Amino acid sequence: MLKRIGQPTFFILLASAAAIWQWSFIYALPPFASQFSLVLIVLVFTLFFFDFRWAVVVALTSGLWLDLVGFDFFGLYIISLFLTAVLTDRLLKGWLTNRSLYSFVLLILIASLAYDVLVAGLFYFSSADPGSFFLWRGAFWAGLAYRAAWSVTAALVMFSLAGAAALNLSFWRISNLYGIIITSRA
Amino acid sequence: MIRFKKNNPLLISLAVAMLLFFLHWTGLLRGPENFLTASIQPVTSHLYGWSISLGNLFRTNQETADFQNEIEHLRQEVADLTVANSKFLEIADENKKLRSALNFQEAKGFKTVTAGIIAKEEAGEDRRDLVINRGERDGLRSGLGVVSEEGMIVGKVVETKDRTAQICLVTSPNCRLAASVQNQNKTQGLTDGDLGLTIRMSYIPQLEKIAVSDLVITSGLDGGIPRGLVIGRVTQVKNESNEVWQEATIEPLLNFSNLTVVSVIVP
Repeated sequence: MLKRIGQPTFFILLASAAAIWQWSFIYALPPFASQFSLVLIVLVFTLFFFDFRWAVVVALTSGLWLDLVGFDFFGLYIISLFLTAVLTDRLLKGWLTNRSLYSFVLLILIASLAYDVLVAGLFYFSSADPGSFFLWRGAFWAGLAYRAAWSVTAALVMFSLAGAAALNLSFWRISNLYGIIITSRA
Repeated sequence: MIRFKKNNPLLISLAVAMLLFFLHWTGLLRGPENFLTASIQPVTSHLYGWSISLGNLFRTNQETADFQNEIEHLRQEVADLTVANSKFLEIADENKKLRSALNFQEAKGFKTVTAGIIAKEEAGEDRRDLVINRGERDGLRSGLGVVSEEGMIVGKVVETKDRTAQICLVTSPNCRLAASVQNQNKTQGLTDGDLGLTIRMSYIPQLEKIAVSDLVITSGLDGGIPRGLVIGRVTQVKNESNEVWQEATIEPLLNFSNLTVVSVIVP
């Protein structure tokens, strides 16, 4: 009973915190730092170390918060995060199946690209005055490069922390985490 | 026959997303939306403040010599402004006497609503708008002017929700203001942001004489923005003989990256 309530609550709170930090703290940082996509990293982390169900919960919750506080059309972030979660899940199950560090890094890079294209594309087609097409803009590719760099860094840090946590907390089995870390080290 | 797995997370999440869209677009979600955005405002204000403080740590520090030069330059400017101010005080006093003699009504000051900045948002190419914690419930609407604590124009309201509003900065592209140069002819023109860094004033007739260091203010021809709010100083004038209009580059006198509190001018 506790697990039935505890798990969804945990993921909803995690996704909400990530979205609020992203919107009010990270976006206000200097340009190179504001490209860090905490919401996306939490989404891919959840998908890789837990389950598609929880990844979808994270996508919908974070997307809902970002749509509520933002001034773009309602649904832009819900749709972008949801489709990114679906695409990333398909890649994980169909192609990057070995669940190693390299697959995690590659997954997060592809997720970053997909998310950026989706958000920029939806914003472009929904704006009354969007300016030049987003793919021809240097700023889009520069932002994507920064986000990719941050994502890879976050992936390396998280994977190391997860590995250390799995070894140190041997009495606790955090869902699939223990099995995945052992499998990837094999 | 297509079979769907029971409790398929993809289908459930699609259904939830559709339901959210439906509830939002029909307005049924408005109450909970307002409650949620209001409940996180204290948190977002603090987070934004921390972000600004952290950002300031990364800004490049100038050499001491540069600071010294700037202090000297500012001392001279203060001296010049003190002299000019004393002349203006005389003129204001004379103006008051003449208005009184002719029974003119006193010009009314404008009413403002103070707001805290709670976030920055990407709003297009080279454009990052500010989000404040006041909205339609506080009397805000699109087109109203926004000023800093010093009384200089920051930008204008572009979109409002019940409890929040989005402001475009004067340095943002497509954030246009009707402006006037404080020169002999009171030259009129239109300002627009340039790359999020400076302001460009265009549609200036060729015959108008504009000099570097001229002060540029709002002309009052915008509906919700009164006359006389300082926009910036002219730093460059582009005057090609084969062009119909002149263009001027304006440097704002305000540092927008440190703003945490602004005032919205309400009717």
